[in-house]
Amino acid sequence: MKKKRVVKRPKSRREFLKYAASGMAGMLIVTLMPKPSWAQRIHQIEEMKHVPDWMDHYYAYVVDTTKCIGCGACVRACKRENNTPDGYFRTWVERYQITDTGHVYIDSPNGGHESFPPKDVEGNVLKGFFVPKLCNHCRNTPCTQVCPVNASYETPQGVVLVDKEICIGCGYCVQACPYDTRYIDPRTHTADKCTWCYHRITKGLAPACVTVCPTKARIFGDLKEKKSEVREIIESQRVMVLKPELNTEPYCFYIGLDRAVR
Amino acid sequence: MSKYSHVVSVFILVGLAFLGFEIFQALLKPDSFGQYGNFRGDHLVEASSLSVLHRGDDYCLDCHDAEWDMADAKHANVPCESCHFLPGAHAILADKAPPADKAKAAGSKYVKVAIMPIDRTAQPCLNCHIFLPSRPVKFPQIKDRAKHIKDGWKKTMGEVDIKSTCDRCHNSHFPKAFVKGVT
Amino acid sequence: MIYTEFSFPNDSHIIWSLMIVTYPFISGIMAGAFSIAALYFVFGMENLKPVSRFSLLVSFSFLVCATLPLLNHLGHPERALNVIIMPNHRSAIGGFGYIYNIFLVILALTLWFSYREDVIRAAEAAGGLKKKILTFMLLWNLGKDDDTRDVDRRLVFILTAIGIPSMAVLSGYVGFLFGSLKSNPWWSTPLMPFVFFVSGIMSGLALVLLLYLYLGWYGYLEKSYKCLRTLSALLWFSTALYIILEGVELLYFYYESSDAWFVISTLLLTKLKYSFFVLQLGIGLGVAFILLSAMFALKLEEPSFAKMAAVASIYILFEVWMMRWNIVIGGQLFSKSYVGFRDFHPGWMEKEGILVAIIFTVLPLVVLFMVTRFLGVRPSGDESAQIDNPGVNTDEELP
Repeated sequence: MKKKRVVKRPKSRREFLKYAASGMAGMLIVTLMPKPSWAQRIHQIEEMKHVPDWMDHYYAYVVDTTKCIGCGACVRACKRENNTPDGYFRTWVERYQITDTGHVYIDSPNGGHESFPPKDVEGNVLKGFFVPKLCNHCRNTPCTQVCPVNASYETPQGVVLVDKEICIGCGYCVQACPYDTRYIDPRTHTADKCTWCYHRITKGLAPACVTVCPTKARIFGDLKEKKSEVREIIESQRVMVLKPELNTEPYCFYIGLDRAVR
Repeated sequence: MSKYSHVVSVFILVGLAFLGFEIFQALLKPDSFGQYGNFRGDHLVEASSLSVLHRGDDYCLDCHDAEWDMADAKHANVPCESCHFLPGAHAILADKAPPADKAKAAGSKYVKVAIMPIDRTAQPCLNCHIFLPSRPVKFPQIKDRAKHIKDGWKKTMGEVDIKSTCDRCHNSHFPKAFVKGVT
Repeated sequence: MIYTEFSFPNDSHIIWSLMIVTYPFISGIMAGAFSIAALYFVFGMENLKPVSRFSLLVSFSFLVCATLPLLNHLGHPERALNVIIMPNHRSAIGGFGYIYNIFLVILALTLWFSYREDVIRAAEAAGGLKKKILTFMLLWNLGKDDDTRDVDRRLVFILTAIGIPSMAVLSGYVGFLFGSLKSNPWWSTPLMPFVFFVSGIMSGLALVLLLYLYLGWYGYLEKSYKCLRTLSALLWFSTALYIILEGVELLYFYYESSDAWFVISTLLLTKLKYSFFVLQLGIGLGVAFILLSAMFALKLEEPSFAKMAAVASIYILFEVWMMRWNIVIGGQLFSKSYVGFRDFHPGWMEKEGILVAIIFTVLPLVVLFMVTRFLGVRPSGDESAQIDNPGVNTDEELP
């Protein structure tokens, strides 16, 4: 039987210290052991192509809108990690402000890349919230359905990817995505989208946006793993998806979604 | 000559064209197509072999565990790379860094591998802490920055400098505590 | 709740621009012209005999040029063959390679059999390289007698009959491509393939009618008042059908009043106000339909009937082009947030600009001219008639 590898979630410092303090002996061993040189360490990480059973996962993503503070760290991290072109976003954050005049103010200046400057609105803000958006990695996928050349497809792990070697750049998938998470990359003239940082998750890391989120508003994990955080949330809490009436079966779930969210 | 001879020849041509198309299709289809599903299988490996830039905290902790005593800090959840530079860039230059013994001789505690620039303006702090009505109510936010600085300063020094950055008073790792001399 | 304007950040560009407006326009004319040939060859409408084989040629020259705007639109035209190398059978565009090639083969064969005798005659008359090329195109078989003529006629019947469904699929497929996208309320309606098909028939009829008037006047095609009347009647009928379809579509959107109407009403009353209500429905459809109805209601006689038919055809072509514009561009003028709108102003010299669109729209007529000129075919079978330039009639293409 294959041993299932647990996807490594970013540990909080508290957890780390707990582990570290749990055995003085262990710490002693660690201090006595020669540390690998920087070069060795980098080499190890760069060579770590995949974890052994990298196919044996089924991923899901949870966004807790009640925790999001709109700092834009995820947008910045995504841009750096995936080198997305200016003006296009694999993930972005939207700000909603609902006033007592009945207006819904939505904005996302540069996708929230430089966080959000205060915005003057008419009336008093009754409630407000931030909604991070990204590719929903649907199961009943409108975008892979329409791709004429199979350049866009679902991996066995439940991630929707675009093969840039095959993509002909027709733009049909961009039209078909109801969440507008796809765009035509002006540099390569092919479709591009969020991959849940496929190069990271296959190495046991979390996507960049999840790694940098300071309030844990973004949670990523494996549904096949019984104790994963996402599985626990989806099984025990009231989660919602975007545009459920379109029956796209997203695997990106939202906590605390308001009816005003587009 | 049969009256159907031209019909036969033109349909043979169509048949040949169809056959040629089938051969053409079989030849040009990528080898790994259909390996895992209806897509080019090699792309899975290609997509997963891109280089990783954000490493998460564990990566930093491996070396910098000494100053890592942040268990109770409010900023324990803020990843190092949000304020410090990308550890990926930090480490990639490791091979070109001065050897460890040389660095130690120069009085450095750590091997200097790359410059890790930190944005010390107020902007990184305000990204999270400026008051926005859309933020969760319990999250600490500054409604009026001038007033915040003024109020904070009164307790301590008496002079007001609105241009001061946050780290003039706050320790970025332990924001509740004040830096030395200010208390 | 009143939404203030907001577009998703990625929604800043119109990715399907003039090329995607041009393609359905060209493929619609292709379908309309083929349907005229089908009415004669399969259903035996004798009135249409003067234009029957000519409309096959029109259909063919528009079909071979139909892929050019699509290729120009692609981000990677050099990978276009991927569509037939590794097609996705769930995709509407994925089936395009098959549908297009099947119809191309059927139409080419129909043309080959119906024009075989003319080409044999041309090959016998010609000399040198031209003779060699023509003989090669005839597959070195120059035999013609009553038996082969009979075989050819039967094959044209069978091939045209098979061609009807494939033509309908090819022209309705564009509508399916738009109509099956649930992400876009302005496109997502089951009526879309029918709207595209019927308006395609309209534009094909209108163009063949125009070309027929022009060529008949020069004596290139057999001049027949009956043929003209039949074409005009068919044009009236398809226009009436189109009005019903378009009306039903809008009425449904309005009466269902779902979130689709939420964005469509705003779209129609702001961004498409002028191009939809004034240009498409008012000037294009309204004027053309009134003219067509008046021609029959007033029982006009030949000279004025022909003139009004020509004017109405130009309005119909304009209407169909505007309809393509309003569907394709209109569907992208709003963000998928449904509360953000934007403008689109095509440039003249861009890769997918106005100039290229005009070239691609006129190109089929040039191809038509060259094909008739080279093959020396005489659509009416009248050998003495001089071939005139059918490729200069370009004034009806773009508004």
